[in-house]
Amino acid sequence: MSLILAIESSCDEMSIAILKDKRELLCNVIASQIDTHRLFGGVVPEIASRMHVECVSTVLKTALQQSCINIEDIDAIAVTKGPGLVGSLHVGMQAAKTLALTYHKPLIGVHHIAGHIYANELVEDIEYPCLCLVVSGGHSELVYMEKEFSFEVIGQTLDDAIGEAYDKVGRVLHLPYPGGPVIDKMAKEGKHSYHLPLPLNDDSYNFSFSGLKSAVINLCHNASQRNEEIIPQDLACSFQEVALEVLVSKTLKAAKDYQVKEIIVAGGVSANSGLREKLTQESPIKVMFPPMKYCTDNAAMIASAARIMYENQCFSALDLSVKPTYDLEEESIGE
Amino acid sequence: MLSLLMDTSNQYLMVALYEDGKCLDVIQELGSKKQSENAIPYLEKLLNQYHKELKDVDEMIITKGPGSYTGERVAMTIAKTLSVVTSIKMKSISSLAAYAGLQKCVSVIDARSQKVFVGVFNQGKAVLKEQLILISEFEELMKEYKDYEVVGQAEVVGYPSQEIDLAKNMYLLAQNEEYIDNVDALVPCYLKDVEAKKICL
Ligand SMILES: [Zn+2]
Repeated sequence: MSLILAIESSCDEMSIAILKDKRELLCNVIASQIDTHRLFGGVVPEIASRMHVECVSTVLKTALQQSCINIEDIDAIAVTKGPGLVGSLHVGMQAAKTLALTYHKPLIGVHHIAGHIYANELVEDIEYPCLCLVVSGGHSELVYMEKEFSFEVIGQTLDDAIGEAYDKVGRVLHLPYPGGPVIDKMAKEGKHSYHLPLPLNDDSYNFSFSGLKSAVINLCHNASQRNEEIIPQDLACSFQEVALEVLVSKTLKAAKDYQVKEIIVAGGVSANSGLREKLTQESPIKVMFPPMKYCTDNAAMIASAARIMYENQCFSALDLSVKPTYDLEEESIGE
Repeated sequence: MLSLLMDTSNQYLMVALYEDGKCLDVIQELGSKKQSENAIPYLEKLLNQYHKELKDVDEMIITKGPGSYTGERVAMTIAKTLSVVTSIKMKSISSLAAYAGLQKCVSVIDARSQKVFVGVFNQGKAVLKEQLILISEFEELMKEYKDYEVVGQAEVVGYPSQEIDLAKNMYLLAQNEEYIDNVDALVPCYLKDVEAKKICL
C-alpha cells in the first residue's frame, strides 16, 4: 500500500500526479507549454524554466483539489531528478523538497527514463526478463531488464535521438513543431518512393539517425536546386519506413538474443502509430505500449516508478541535486 | 510570529528565522553555488535547532531578483509551494534593495556579458528605477550619485565589496511591504528578456 505524490518538470511540461498503490491514479495534472515553444520551433530552456516557476503552485493546488486527499496521508514525495533541462528540473526539485520537509515525508529522486518505462505498469504488470525500447526526443535506447527495476543499457544512439531526427526532418519539410506526430500522420498518406540509406544497419544494438536525417536534408536541397517538387507525404513515408525498419529489426534481434518474455516501449515516440503497428505485427512475443496519454512527459509515470522505489526504500536526502545526465544503469535496485 | 527569510538569488545562500521581530539564527554563505542543493537542508537544520515546524511559519520574506535565473527561482519555488499547503503569508523584496538595506547607496549585481543590474537607494526607497546597464556605463551613472556607497557585487564595477547582513536588511525592508495577495501569480524579476535564439539545423 502506498500513496505517492510525484512531480515531473524535466522539459516543457509541469506535471503533478498522486498515485495510490499500483495504478489507482487520483490525479495527473499536466501544464503543457507546447504552444509557446512551437513559436520558436523547439523548446527554449529558459522560457520553460520561467513558465514552470510561474505555474508550480497552481498545478499543485489543482492536483490536491482533484485527488481529494489529505496531504498528511501521502507516504512519499517523488520527483524527476534528471535527465532533462537543468533549469526546468530545479523547479520541480524545490517544490518536492519543500513538500517533503513540510510533512516529514521521504523524498524519492526518480530517473526520467525509469518513469517512461514504468508508465507501462500503470496499465498492466511487466513480465521479466523484458526488453525496453526507449524512444523520445532525447533518447533512443535498448534496455534489458532481467528483473524489476534492473536496467542494462545494451544499445543506444551514437548521435541524434529518434525524436530529434523526426523534429529536424519536420523542420526541413516546414512542418509545425513538434514534427514527429505530423510526419507519422503524413506517412500514412504517402508511399515509400524516395531512396534513403538504412542507418547503422549492423550487428550492434546501437542506433544512428544523423545520417538518415542528413540524407533527407540533402534530398530536399538537391530537389530545390533542380527546381523539382518534393512530395512531402512520400518523403515522410520513406523517412518513417527507413527509421522504423532499423528500430524494429534491432529491437527484435535483441529480444531474441536476450530471450526476453516481452518487449515494452517507452518515451514520446511510443505514440508513433507506424511504430506501434510495425513492432506489434513483426514481433513473435508480446509488445506493450503505454496508453497514448502516458507517452509524453507526465508525473503519473514518475509516481509509477517511485512506487517501486518506495517499496524498496530507495530514498534520497534533502540535498539531492538535479543533473542533466543521470546514468540509468546506476538506478538499478539490488545490484 | 515566526518569520522565515531566504535569499538564493545571487552569490549568497541565506536562510534565517525571526521570532517576534527577534533574529533566532542566520545561515549565510557567500559564494555558494549550491543554493538548489542546500536551501532546504539549511532550512531543515534551523527548524530542528529551534524545534520549529515549517507548518508553523507565519510569514516568509524572499528576494525576487534580479540575479541568477536559476538562483532566484529557488526561494520563489519554495515560497510558492509552501503557500499552497500552509497558511503562510509572503513578502518579496528586490535583490538589489536587499543588498542596499537602509543605506544611501548604489546596489550592483553582476548580470554577466559585461553588464550589471543597478538600483539606487536611500533609506530603503528606490531613487532610480532598477535597470540593466553596461559595466562601461557605470562610472557615468556614479557621477550623479557621488556621495553614495557602492554595495552588492561591487567588485564587478571596480569597487571594494563587503559582506552584507542580508537577513537584517530584508527584515527591516519587509516592515514597509504589504503581503502578496496572489502568490500564484508571483514570478521572479528577471530584468532581462530571454534571448530566444531560433533553433536551426
Ligand atoms: Zn520524456
